[in-house]
Amino acid sequence: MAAPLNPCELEIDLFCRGVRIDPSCSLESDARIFRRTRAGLGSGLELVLPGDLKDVWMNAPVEEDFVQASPYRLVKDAERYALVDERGPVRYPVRIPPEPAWYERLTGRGTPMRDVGVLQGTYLGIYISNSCGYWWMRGEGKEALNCAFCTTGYNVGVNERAEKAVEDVVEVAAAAKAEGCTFTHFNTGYHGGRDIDLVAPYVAAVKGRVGQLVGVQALPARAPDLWKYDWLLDLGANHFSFCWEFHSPDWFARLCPGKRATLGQDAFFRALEYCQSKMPKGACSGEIIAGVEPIEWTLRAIDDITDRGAFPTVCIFRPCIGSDMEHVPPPRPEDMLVVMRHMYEACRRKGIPIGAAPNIEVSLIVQPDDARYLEPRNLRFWGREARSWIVRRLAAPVFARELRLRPPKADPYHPPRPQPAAV
Amino acid sequence: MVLDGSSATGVLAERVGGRFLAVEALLGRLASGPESFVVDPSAAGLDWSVENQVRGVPNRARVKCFSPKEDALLVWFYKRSALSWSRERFSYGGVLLDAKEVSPSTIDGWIRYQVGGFSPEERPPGMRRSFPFDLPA
Repeated sequence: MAAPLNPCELEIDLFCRGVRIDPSCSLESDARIFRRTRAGLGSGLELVLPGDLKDVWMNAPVEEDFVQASPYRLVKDAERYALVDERGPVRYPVRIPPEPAWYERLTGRGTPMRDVGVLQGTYLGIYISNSCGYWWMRGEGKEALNCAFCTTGYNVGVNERAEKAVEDVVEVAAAAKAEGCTFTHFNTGYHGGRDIDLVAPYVAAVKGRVGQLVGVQALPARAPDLWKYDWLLDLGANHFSFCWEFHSPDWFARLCPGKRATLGQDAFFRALEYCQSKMPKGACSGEIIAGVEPIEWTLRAIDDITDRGAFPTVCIFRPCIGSDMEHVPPPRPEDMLVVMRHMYEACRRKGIPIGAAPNIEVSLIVQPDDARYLEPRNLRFWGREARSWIVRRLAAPVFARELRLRPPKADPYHPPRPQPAAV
Repeated sequence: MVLDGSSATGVLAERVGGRFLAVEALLGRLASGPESFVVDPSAAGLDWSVENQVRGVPNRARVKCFSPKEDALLVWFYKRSALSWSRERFSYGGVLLDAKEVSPSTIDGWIRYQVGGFSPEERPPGMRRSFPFDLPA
Protein backbone atom coordinates (compact mmCIF):
# COMPACT_ATOMS: atom_id res chain seq x y z
CA MET A 1 0.00 0.00 0.00
CA ALA A 2 1.31 3.45 -0.86
CA ALA A 3 2.08 5.80 2.03
CA PRO A 4 -0.45 8.55 2.75
CA LEU A 5 0.28 11.75 0.88
CA ASN A 6 1.46 14.87 2.64
CA PRO A 7 -0.78 17.97 2.30
CA CYS A 8 1.04 19.33 -0.75
CA GLU A 9 1.17 15.96 -2.52
CA LEU A 10 -2.53 15.60 -1.79
CA GLU A 11 -3.21 19.11 -3.08
CA ILE A 12 -1.45 18.28 -6.35
CA ASP A 13 -3.24 14.95 -6.68
CA LEU A 14 -6.59 16.65 -6.10
CA PHE A 15 -5.89 19.38 -8.65
CA CYS A 16 -5.15 16.65 -11.20
CA ARG A 17 -7.96 14.23 -10.33
CA GLY A 18 -10.69 16.28 -8.67
CA VAL A 19 -13.04 15.07 -5.98
CA ARG A 20 -16.45 13.40 -6.12
CA ILE A 21 -19.05 14.49 -3.61
CA ASP A 22 -20.70 11.78 -1.55
CA PRO A 23 -24.43 12.13 -0.77
CA SER A 24 -23.52 12.27 2.95
CA CYS A 25 -22.17 15.81 2.39
CA SER A 26 -24.26 18.90 2.95
CA LEU A 27 -22.14 21.40 1.09
CA GLU A 28 -25.15 23.53 0.22
CA SER A 29 -25.12 24.66 3.83
CA ASP A 30 -21.54 23.94 4.90
CA ALA A 31 -19.46 25.31 2.03
CA ARG A 32 -18.99 28.52 0.15
CA ILE A 33 -21.29 28.90 -2.78
CA PHE A 34 -20.00 27.30 -5.98
CA ARG A 35 -19.67 29.85 -8.72
CA ARG A 36 -18.07 29.65 -12.09
CA THR A 37 -15.87 32.69 -11.96
CA ARG A 38 -14.34 34.18 -15.01
CA ALA A 39 -11.55 31.94 -16.16
CA GLY A 40 -13.07 28.97 -14.36
CA LEU A 41 -10.25 28.01 -12.01
CA GLY A 42 -12.22 28.96 -8.91
CA SER A 43 -15.31 27.01 -9.84
CA GLY A 44 -14.64 24.07 -7.56
CA LEU A 45 -14.81 23.22 -3.89
CA GLU A 46 -12.76 25.26 -1.43
CA LEU A 47 -10.91 22.86 0.85
CA VAL A 48 -8.37 23.16 3.64
CA LEU A 49 -5.91 20.31 4.01
CA PRO A 50 -4.50 20.44 7.55
CA GLY A 51 -0.78 19.95 8.08
CA ASP A 52 1.96 20.50 10.63
CA LEU A 53 3.86 23.17 8.65
CA LYS A 54 0.80 25.01 7.48
CA ASP A 55 -2.76 24.33 6.39
CA VAL A 56 -3.01 24.10 2.62
CA TRP A 57 -5.92 25.86 0.90
CA MET A 58 -7.10 24.65 -2.46
CA ASN A 59 -10.01 24.76 -4.86
CA ALA A 60 -10.65 21.16 -5.91
CA PRO A 61 -12.29 20.44 -9.27
CA VAL A 62 -15.76 18.94 -8.87
CA GLU A 63 -17.71 19.89 -11.99
CA GLU A 64 -15.44 18.76 -14.79
CA ASP A 65 -16.07 15.46 -16.54
CA PHE A 66 -12.68 14.00 -15.60
CA VAL A 67 -13.70 14.20 -11.94
CA GLN A 68 -16.15 11.33 -12.46
CA ALA A 69 -13.14 9.00 -12.57
CA SER A 70 -11.45 10.45 -9.47
CA PRO A 71 -10.48 8.04 -6.68
CA TYR A 72 -11.23 10.77 -4.13
CA ARG A 73 -14.65 10.98 -2.52
CA LEU A 74 -15.61 13.66 -0.03
CA VAL A 75 -17.67 12.23 2.82
CA LYS A 76 -19.27 13.73 5.92
CA ASP A 77 -19.32 11.69 9.08
CA ALA A 78 -20.40 12.99 12.49
CA GLU A 79 -20.23 16.60 11.28
CA ARG A 80 -16.66 16.17 10.05
CA TYR A 81 -15.47 16.00 6.47
CA ALA A 82 -12.85 13.65 5.10
CA LEU A 83 -11.47 12.60 1.75
CA VAL A 84 -11.59 8.89 1.13
CA ASP A 85 -9.04 7.58 -1.36
CA GLU A 86 -10.72 4.57 -2.88
CA ARG A 87 -7.41 3.16 -4.15
CA GLY A 88 -6.61 2.09 -0.59
CA PRO A 89 -7.78 2.45 3.00
CA VAL A 90 -6.61 6.04 3.32
CA ARG A 91 -8.76 8.77 4.76
CA TYR A 92 -7.67 12.40 4.94
CA PRO A 93 -9.47 14.76 7.33
CA VAL A 94 -10.23 18.08 5.65
CA ARG A 95 -11.95 21.31 6.56
CA ILE A 96 -14.57 23.04 4.48
CA PRO A 97 -14.23 26.80 4.90
CA PRO A 98 -17.67 28.26 5.56
CA GLU A 99 -19.20 31.01 3.51
CA PRO A 100 -18.19 34.42 4.84
CA ALA A 101 -21.08 36.27 6.49
CA TRP A 102 -20.84 39.19 4.07
CA TYR A 103 -21.68 36.97 1.06
CA GLU A 104 -25.36 37.33 1.99
CA ARG A 105 -25.28 41.09 2.50
CA LEU A 106 -26.07 43.92 0.11
CA THR A 107 -23.98 47.00 -0.47
CA GLY A 108 -25.49 50.43 0.15
CA ARG A 109 -26.36 50.55 -3.55
CA GLY A 110 -28.27 47.28 -3.23
CA THR A 111 -25.70 45.06 -4.97
CA PRO A 112 -25.27 41.55 -3.51
CA MET A 113 -21.77 41.62 -2.07
CA ARG A 114 -20.92 38.20 -3.46
CA ASP A 115 -21.56 39.57 -6.95
CA VAL A 116 -18.80 42.08 -6.39
CA GLY A 117 -16.01 39.86 -5.10
CA VAL A 118 -15.26 36.30 -4.05
CA LEU A 119 -12.90 34.75 -1.53
CA GLN A 120 -10.47 32.40 -3.25
CA GLY A 121 -8.68 30.95 -0.27
CA THR A 122 -8.32 33.86 2.13
CA TYR A 123 -7.92 36.71 -0.34
CA LEU A 124 -10.62 38.76 -2.02
CA GLY A 125 -10.72 38.46 -5.81
CA ILE A 126 -12.51 41.21 -7.70
CA TYR A 127 -12.98 41.26 -11.42
CA ILE A 128 -13.45 44.86 -12.32
CA SER A 129 -15.32 44.12 -15.50
CA ASN A 130 -17.33 41.17 -16.65
CA SER A 131 -15.94 41.07 -20.13
CA CYS A 132 -12.63 40.27 -21.79
CA GLY A 133 -12.19 41.83 -25.22
CA TYR A 134 -10.62 38.69 -26.67
CA TRP A 135 -14.02 37.02 -26.60
CA TRP A 136 -15.32 39.67 -28.96
CA MET A 137 -12.41 39.77 -31.39
CA ARG A 138 -12.48 37.63 -34.49
CA GLY A 139 -9.51 36.59 -36.55
CA GLU A 140 -7.25 33.80 -37.71
CA GLY A 141 -10.33 31.81 -38.78
CA LYS A 142 -11.62 31.75 -35.18
CA GLU A 143 -14.94 33.05 -33.91
CA ALA A 144 -13.11 34.60 -30.97
CA LEU A 145 -9.51 35.15 -29.85
CA ASN A 146 -10.06 34.01 -26.27
CA CYS A 147 -7.45 31.95 -24.48
CA ALA A 148 -8.29 28.30 -25.06
CA PHE A 149 -8.42 27.33 -21.37
CA CYS A 150 -10.70 30.23 -20.38
CA THR A 151 -14.49 30.32 -19.94
CA THR A 152 -15.01 34.01 -19.28
CA GLY A 153 -17.13 34.71 -22.31
CA TYR A 154 -19.75 32.14 -21.41
CA ASN A 155 -20.56 33.68 -18.06
CA VAL A 156 -24.06 34.90 -17.53
CA GLY A 157 -24.38 38.64 -17.76
CA VAL A 158 -21.44 39.02 -20.06
CA ASN A 159 -23.37 41.40 -22.28
CA GLU A 160 -24.33 43.58 -19.39
CA ARG A 161 -20.83 44.99 -19.00
CA ALA A 162 -21.19 44.49 -15.29
CA GLU A 163 -18.43 46.83 -14.24
CA LYS A 164 -18.06 47.14 -10.50
CA ALA A 165 -18.90 50.43 -8.82
CA VAL A 166 -16.00 51.74 -6.77
CA GLU A 167 -18.34 52.32 -3.82
CA ASP A 168 -19.48 48.69 -3.92
CA VAL A 169 -15.89 47.48 -4.06
CA VAL A 170 -14.92 49.59 -1.06
CA GLU A 171 -17.81 48.21 0.98
CA VAL A 172 -17.02 44.62 0.06
CA ALA A 173 -13.30 44.99 0.74
CA ALA A 174 -14.12 46.57 4.12
CA ALA A 175 -16.51 43.72 4.97
CA ALA A 176 -13.88 41.15 4.00
CA LYS A 177 -11.21 42.96 6.02
CA ALA A 178 -13.49 42.92 9.06
CA GLU A 179 -13.40 39.11 8.80
CA GLY A 180 -9.62 38.98 8.56
CA CYS A 181 -8.94 39.36 4.84
CA THR A 182 -5.68 41.24 4.21
CA PHE A 183 -5.41 41.22 0.43
CA THR A 184 -7.64 42.38 -2.41
CA HIS A 185 -6.65 41.29 -5.87
CA PHE A 186 -8.06 43.03 -8.94
CA ASN A 187 -7.97 41.55 -12.37
CA THR A 188 -9.26 42.38 -15.78
CA GLY A 189 -9.56 40.94 -19.23
CA TYR A 190 -8.43 42.77 -22.34
CA HIS A 191 -9.65 46.35 -22.66
CA GLY A 192 -7.77 47.60 -25.67
CA GLY A 193 -4.78 48.94 -23.76
CA ARG A 194 -6.84 50.86 -21.18
CA ASP A 195 -6.61 48.13 -18.55
CA ILE A 196 -4.43 49.96 -16.07
CA ASP A 197 -6.46 53.15 -16.35
CA LEU A 198 -9.58 51.14 -15.50
CA VAL A 199 -8.11 49.51 -12.42
CA ALA A 200 -6.50 52.67 -10.96
CA PRO A 201 -9.57 54.09 -9.14
CA TYR A 202 -10.19 50.75 -7.44
CA VAL A 203 -6.61 50.50 -6.22
CA ALA A 204 -6.71 54.01 -4.77
CA ALA A 205 -10.09 53.46 -3.13
CA VAL A 206 -9.19 50.19 -1.40
CA LYS A 207 -5.81 51.45 -0.26
CA GLY A 208 -7.07 54.83 0.83
CA ARG A 209 -10.40 53.88 2.39
CA VAL A 210 -10.04 50.24 3.47
CA GLY A 211 -6.33 49.71 4.08
CA GLN A 212 -5.43 46.36 2.57
CA LEU A 213 -2.65 44.93 0.50
CA VAL A 214 -3.67 45.45 -3.11
CA GLY A 215 -2.70 43.36 -6.12
CA VAL A 216 -3.31 43.98 -9.81
CA GLN A 217 -3.44 41.48 -12.61
CA ALA A 218 -4.02 43.17 -15.93
CA LEU A 219 -2.73 42.76 -19.45
CA PRO A 220 0.73 44.35 -19.53
CA ALA A 221 1.23 47.94 -20.54
CA ARG A 222 3.10 48.43 -23.79
CA ALA A 223 6.70 49.68 -23.58
CA PRO A 224 5.85 53.41 -23.92
CA ASP A 225 3.27 53.10 -21.14
CA LEU A 226 5.29 51.29 -18.50
CA TRP A 227 5.25 54.49 -16.41
CA LYS A 228 1.65 53.65 -15.59
CA TYR A 229 2.92 51.08 -13.11
CA ASP A 230 4.62 53.91 -11.21
CA TRP A 231 1.26 55.62 -11.13
CA LEU A 232 -0.35 52.48 -9.66
CA LEU A 233 2.43 52.26 -7.08
CA ASP A 234 1.68 55.85 -6.07
CA LEU A 235 -1.95 54.85 -5.73
CA GLY A 236 -1.04 52.03 -3.37
CA ALA A 237 -0.53 48.84 -5.39
CA ASN A 238 1.59 46.25 -3.57
CA HIS A 239 1.70 43.49 -6.13
CA PHE A 240 1.51 42.94 -9.86
CA SER A 241 1.06 39.63 -11.60
CA PHE A 242 1.53 38.91 -15.27
CA CYS A 243 -0.04 35.91 -16.93
CA TRP A 244 1.59 34.73 -20.10
CA GLU A 245 0.36 31.22 -19.32
CA PHE A 246 2.71 29.27 -21.60
CA HIS A 247 6.43 29.83 -21.85
CA SER A 248 6.97 28.14 -25.19
CA PRO A 249 6.32 30.79 -27.86
CA ASP A 250 4.54 28.18 -29.99
CA TRP A 251 2.16 27.08 -27.22
CA PHE A 252 1.58 30.69 -26.25
CA ALA A 253 0.67 31.61 -29.82
CA ARG A 254 -1.58 28.61 -30.29
CA LEU A 255 -3.51 28.78 -27.01
CA CYS A 256 -3.51 32.52 -26.33
CA PRO A 257 -4.28 33.95 -29.78
CA GLY A 258 -5.61 37.24 -28.44
CA LYS A 259 -2.56 37.88 -26.29
CA ARG A 260 -0.32 36.99 -29.21
CA ALA A 261 -2.16 39.21 -31.66
CA THR A 262 -2.39 42.27 -29.42
CA LEU A 263 0.70 42.17 -27.20
CA GLY A 264 3.09 39.29 -27.75
CA GLN A 265 4.89 37.33 -25.08
CA ASP A 266 7.71 39.87 -24.69
CA ALA A 267 5.28 42.49 -23.37
CA PHE A 268 4.67 40.27 -20.33
CA PHE A 269 8.38 39.72 -19.66
CA ARG A 270 9.12 43.43 -20.07
CA ALA A 271 6.35 44.55 -17.72
CA LEU A 272 7.32 41.97 -15.08
CA GLU A 273 10.93 43.06 -15.23
CA TYR A 274 9.98 46.74 -15.03
CA CYS A 275 7.69 46.32 -12.04
CA GLN A 276 9.89 43.92 -10.12
CA SER A 277 12.85 46.28 -10.53
CA LYS A 278 10.86 48.93 -8.61
CA MET A 279 9.52 46.72 -5.85
CA PRO A 280 10.85 44.47 -3.08
CA LYS A 281 11.98 41.01 -4.14
CA GLY A 282 9.03 38.68 -4.56
CA ALA A 283 6.45 41.47 -4.81
CA CYS A 284 5.58 40.58 -8.40
CA SER A 285 4.72 37.28 -9.98
CA GLY A 286 4.73 35.62 -13.34
CA GLU A 287 1.80 33.30 -13.84
CA ILE A 288 1.94 30.17 -15.92
CA ILE A 289 -0.14 27.08 -16.48
CA ALA A 290 1.58 23.74 -15.91
CA GLY A 291 0.49 20.53 -17.53
CA VAL A 292 -0.14 21.56 -21.12
CA GLU A 293 3.19 22.47 -22.72
CA PRO A 294 6.11 20.07 -22.13
CA ILE A 295 7.25 20.51 -18.54
CA GLU A 296 10.75 21.52 -19.66
CA TRP A 297 9.14 24.80 -20.73
CA THR A 298 7.38 25.18 -17.39
CA LEU A 299 10.64 24.62 -15.53
CA ARG A 300 12.33 27.18 -17.75
CA ALA A 301 9.49 29.64 -17.03
CA ILE A 302 10.02 29.19 -13.30
CA ASP A 303 13.74 29.85 -13.73
CA ASP A 304 13.12 32.97 -15.81
CA ILE A 305 10.57 34.35 -13.35
CA THR A 306 12.75 33.76 -10.31
CA ASP A 307 15.83 35.11 -12.14
CA ARG A 308 13.93 38.38 -12.35
CA GLY A 309 13.34 38.36 -8.58
CA ALA A 310 9.64 37.57 -8.92
CA PHE A 311 7.79 34.55 -7.62
CA PRO A 312 6.17 31.98 -9.88
CA THR A 313 2.42 31.49 -9.72
CA VAL A 314 1.98 28.04 -11.18
CA CYS A 315 -1.58 26.91 -11.93
CA ILE A 316 -2.13 23.26 -12.59
CA PHE A 317 -4.08 23.03 -15.83
CA ARG A 318 -7.78 22.45 -15.25
CA PRO A 319 -9.80 21.52 -18.34
CA CYS A 320 -12.66 23.74 -17.28
CA ILE A 321 -16.10 22.73 -18.31
CA GLY A 322 -17.10 24.64 -21.41
CA SER A 323 -13.62 25.81 -22.35
CA ASP A 324 -12.03 25.08 -25.71
CA MET A 325 -9.64 22.75 -23.86
CA GLU A 326 -12.32 20.92 -21.91
CA HIS A 327 -11.45 17.62 -23.55
CA VAL A 328 -7.72 17.87 -22.93
CA PRO A 329 -6.85 15.49 -20.08
CA PRO A 330 -5.60 17.02 -16.83
CA PRO A 331 -1.86 16.62 -16.19
CA ARG A 332 -0.24 13.69 -14.42
CA PRO A 333 0.36 14.31 -10.70
CA GLU A 334 3.90 12.89 -11.03
CA ASP A 335 4.79 15.61 -13.53
CA MET A 336 3.26 18.31 -11.36
CA LEU A 337 5.31 17.13 -8.40
CA VAL A 338 8.45 17.71 -10.46
CA VAL A 339 7.24 21.21 -11.36
CA MET A 340 6.33 22.19 -7.80
CA ARG A 341 9.58 20.87 -6.35
CA HIS A 342 11.41 22.93 -8.96
CA MET A 343 9.33 26.00 -8.06
CA TYR A 344 10.15 25.63 -4.39
CA GLU A 345 13.86 25.03 -5.01
CA ALA A 346 14.11 28.00 -7.39
CA CYS A 347 12.51 30.34 -4.85
CA ARG A 348 14.76 29.11 -2.07
CA ARG A 349 17.94 29.16 -4.14
CA LYS A 350 17.33 32.70 -5.38
CA GLY A 351 16.15 34.09 -2.06
CA ILE A 352 12.58 34.84 -3.14
CA PRO A 353 10.65 35.28 0.11
CA ILE A 354 7.79 32.82 0.43
CA GLY A 355 4.93 32.87 2.89
CA ALA A 356 5.98 36.24 4.28
CA ALA A 357 2.74 38.15 3.67
CA PRO A 358 0.14 37.86 6.42
CA ASN A 359 -2.81 35.53 5.88
CA ILE A 360 -2.66 35.22 2.10
CA GLU A 361 -3.70 31.75 1.04
CA VAL A 362 -4.45 31.36 -2.65
CA SER A 363 -6.64 28.36 -3.29
CA LEU A 364 -6.26 28.30 -7.07
CA ILE A 365 -2.61 27.35 -7.14
CA VAL A 366 0.08 25.42 -5.33
CA GLN A 367 1.74 28.26 -3.45
CA PRO A 368 5.52 28.18 -3.14
CA ASP A 369 5.19 27.77 0.62
CA ASP A 370 2.76 24.85 0.19
CA ALA A 371 5.68 23.13 -1.53
CA ARG A 372 7.69 23.18 1.71
CA TYR A 373 6.05 19.81 2.30
CA LEU A 374 7.93 18.43 -0.71
CA GLU A 375 11.39 18.98 0.78
CA PRO A 376 12.91 16.31 3.03
CA ARG A 377 12.97 17.35 6.70
CA ASN A 378 16.74 17.54 7.05
CA LEU A 379 19.14 20.14 8.37
CA ARG A 380 18.94 22.20 5.18
CA PHE A 381 15.16 22.26 5.44
CA TRP A 382 15.18 23.52 9.02
CA GLY A 383 17.82 26.10 8.16
CA ARG A 384 15.57 27.42 5.41
CA GLU A 385 12.61 27.42 7.78
CA ALA A 386 14.62 29.48 10.28
CA ARG A 387 15.50 32.01 7.57
CA SER A 388 11.84 32.23 6.56
CA TRP A 389 10.88 32.87 10.17
CA ILE A 390 13.35 35.73 10.37
CA VAL A 391 12.10 37.21 7.07
CA ARG A 392 8.52 37.05 8.35
CA ARG A 393 9.48 38.85 11.54
CA LEU A 394 11.37 41.54 9.66
CA ALA A 395 8.55 41.98 7.14
CA ALA A 396 5.78 42.15 9.74
CA PRO A 397 6.06 45.90 10.46
CA VAL A 398 6.19 46.63 6.72
CA PHE A 399 2.98 44.71 6.12
CA ALA A 400 1.37 46.27 9.19
CA ARG A 401 2.07 49.69 7.71
CA GLU A 402 0.63 48.62 4.35
CA LEU A 403 -2.57 47.48 6.06
CA ARG A 404 -3.28 50.99 7.28
CA LEU A 405 -5.19 53.58 5.28
CA ARG A 406 -2.94 55.31 2.81
CA PRO A 407 -4.16 58.35 0.88
CA PRO A 408 -3.21 58.10 -2.80
CA LYS A 409 -0.25 60.17 -3.95
CA ALA A 410 -1.75 60.68 -7.40
CA ASP A 411 -5.07 61.29 -9.11
CA PRO A 412 -6.60 57.85 -9.82
CA TYR A 413 -8.87 59.18 -12.54
CA HIS A 414 -6.28 61.15 -14.50
CA PRO A 415 -2.97 59.52 -15.33
CA PRO A 416 -0.09 61.89 -14.79
CA ARG A 417 0.90 61.75 -18.46
CA PRO A 418 -1.20 62.11 -21.62
CA GLN A 419 -3.15 59.06 -22.73
CA PRO A 420 -1.45 57.12 -25.52
CA ALA A 421 -3.00 57.11 -28.95
CA ALA A 422 -5.95 54.72 -29.28
CA VAL A 423 -4.90 51.15 -30.04
CA MET B 1 -38.79 9.74 -21.35
CA VAL B 2 -36.74 7.93 -24.04
CA LEU B 3 -37.49 9.14 -27.55
CA ASP B 4 -38.31 6.47 -30.10
CA GLY B 5 -40.61 5.86 -33.04
CA SER B 6 -43.67 5.68 -30.80
CA SER B 7 -43.05 9.03 -29.08
CA ALA B 8 -45.70 11.70 -29.44
CA THR B 9 -43.38 14.17 -31.12
CA GLY B 10 -46.20 16.59 -31.89
CA VAL B 11 -46.96 16.98 -28.18
CA LEU B 12 -43.30 17.37 -27.36
CA ALA B 13 -42.87 20.03 -30.04
CA GLU B 14 -45.49 22.16 -28.27
CA ARG B 15 -43.21 22.41 -25.24
CA VAL B 16 -41.04 24.83 -27.17
CA GLY B 17 -43.74 27.53 -27.10
CA GLY B 18 -44.49 28.06 -30.77
CA ARG B 19 -44.54 26.14 -34.01
CA PHE B 20 -41.12 25.71 -35.53
CA LEU B 21 -40.29 23.53 -38.49
CA ALA B 22 -36.81 23.04 -37.10
CA VAL B 23 -38.17 21.46 -33.92
CA GLU B 24 -40.39 19.05 -35.82
CA ALA B 25 -37.48 17.97 -37.99
CA LEU B 26 -35.22 17.71 -34.97
CA LEU B 27 -37.65 15.52 -33.05
CA GLY B 28 -38.06 13.25 -36.06
CA ARG B 29 -34.29 12.83 -36.22
CA LEU B 30 -33.97 12.21 -32.46
CA ALA B 31 -36.73 9.58 -32.47
CA SER B 32 -35.40 7.68 -35.46
CA GLY B 33 -31.65 7.86 -34.89
CA PRO B 34 -29.40 5.13 -33.50
CA GLU B 35 -28.65 7.05 -30.29
CA SER B 36 -30.88 6.98 -27.22
CA PHE B 37 -32.18 10.45 -26.31
CA VAL B 38 -34.04 11.15 -23.07
CA VAL B 39 -36.43 14.09 -22.71
CA ASP B 40 -36.69 15.75 -19.29
CA PRO B 41 -40.38 16.56 -18.78
CA SER B 42 -39.63 18.65 -15.69
CA ALA B 43 -37.40 21.10 -17.56
CA ALA B 44 -38.63 24.22 -19.31
CA GLY B 45 -38.92 23.98 -23.09
CA LEU B 46 -37.89 20.82 -24.90
CA ASP B 47 -34.82 19.56 -23.04
CA TRP B 48 -33.00 16.30 -23.64
CA SER B 49 -29.85 14.37 -22.84
CA VAL B 50 -28.20 11.46 -24.65
CA GLU B 51 -27.32 8.11 -23.13
CA ASN B 52 -23.79 7.43 -24.24
CA GLN B 53 -20.26 7.70 -22.90
CA VAL B 54 -17.55 10.12 -23.97
CA ARG B 55 -13.95 9.25 -23.15
CA GLY B 56 -15.14 6.62 -20.69
CA VAL B 57 -17.54 8.73 -18.65
CA PRO B 58 -21.29 9.41 -19.03
CA ASN B 59 -22.05 12.18 -21.51
CA ARG B 60 -23.50 15.22 -19.72
CA ALA B 61 -24.25 17.20 -22.87
CA ARG B 62 -27.81 18.55 -22.99
CA VAL B 63 -29.82 20.49 -25.52
CA LYS B 64 -32.75 22.76 -24.78
CA CYS B 65 -35.06 24.24 -27.39
CA PHE B 66 -37.31 27.10 -26.41
CA SER B 67 -38.80 30.23 -27.84
CA PRO B 68 -37.47 33.35 -26.08
CA LYS B 69 -39.80 35.61 -28.09
CA GLU B 70 -42.31 35.29 -30.91
CA ASP B 71 -40.97 33.56 -34.02
CA ALA B 72 -37.57 33.01 -32.43
CA LEU B 73 -36.14 29.65 -31.45
CA LEU B 74 -33.03 29.04 -29.43
CA VAL B 75 -31.27 25.68 -29.64
CA TRP B 76 -29.11 25.90 -26.56
CA PHE B 77 -26.24 23.54 -25.71
CA TYR B 78 -25.31 23.18 -22.05
CA LYS B 79 -24.38 20.93 -19.17
CA ARG B 80 -25.92 20.77 -15.73
CA SER B 81 -23.91 20.88 -12.55
CA ALA B 82 -22.52 17.56 -11.35
CA LEU B 83 -23.78 18.46 -7.87
CA SER B 84 -27.33 17.35 -7.24
CA TRP B 85 -28.32 20.43 -5.25
CA SER B 86 -26.64 22.97 -7.51
CA ARG B 87 -28.67 24.92 -10.07
CA GLU B 88 -25.49 25.97 -11.90
CA ARG B 89 -25.56 25.42 -15.66
CA PHE B 90 -22.65 25.56 -18.06
CA SER B 91 -23.40 27.10 -21.41
CA TYR B 92 -21.65 26.17 -24.63
CA GLY B 93 -23.65 28.69 -26.65
CA GLY B 94 -26.59 28.19 -28.94
CA VAL B 95 -28.13 28.80 -32.32
CA LEU B 96 -30.84 31.44 -32.62
CA LEU B 97 -33.30 30.72 -35.44
CA ASP B 98 -36.53 32.00 -36.89
CA ALA B 99 -39.51 29.89 -37.95
CA LYS B 100 -37.93 28.80 -41.25
CA GLU B 101 -36.94 25.26 -42.15
CA VAL B 102 -33.49 24.00 -41.22
CA SER B 103 -31.47 21.60 -43.36
CA PRO B 104 -31.04 17.98 -42.23
CA SER B 105 -27.27 18.45 -42.28
CA THR B 106 -27.58 21.35 -39.82
CA ILE B 107 -29.65 19.19 -37.50
CA ASP B 108 -27.17 16.34 -37.83
CA GLY B 109 -24.43 18.78 -36.87
CA TRP B 110 -26.26 19.72 -33.64
CA ILE B 111 -26.78 16.08 -32.75
CA ARG B 112 -23.20 15.16 -33.55
CA TYR B 113 -22.09 17.98 -31.25
CA GLN B 114 -24.21 16.63 -28.40
CA VAL B 115 -23.32 12.97 -28.91
CA GLY B 116 -19.62 13.90 -28.95
CA GLY B 117 -19.95 15.64 -25.58
CA PHE B 118 -19.55 19.13 -27.11
CA SER B 119 -16.17 18.50 -28.62
CA PRO B 120 -14.79 21.84 -29.90
CA GLU B 121 -14.02 20.20 -33.27
CA GLU B 122 -17.73 19.49 -33.74
CA ARG B 123 -18.93 22.96 -32.78
CA PRO B 124 -21.81 23.84 -35.14
CA PRO B 125 -21.44 26.94 -37.28
CA GLY B 126 -23.43 30.06 -36.41
CA MET B 127 -23.26 29.55 -32.65
CA ARG B 128 -23.74 32.54 -30.36
CA ARG B 129 -21.94 32.60 -27.04
CA SER B 130 -24.35 34.79 -25.10
CA PHE B 131 -27.94 35.96 -25.26
CA PRO B 132 -29.88 39.06 -24.23
CA PHE B 133 -32.58 37.07 -22.45
CA ASP B 134 -32.93 34.60 -19.59
CA LEU B 135 -32.45 30.91 -20.21
CA PRO B 136 -35.21 29.09 -18.29
CA ALA B 137 -34.35 26.07 -16.17
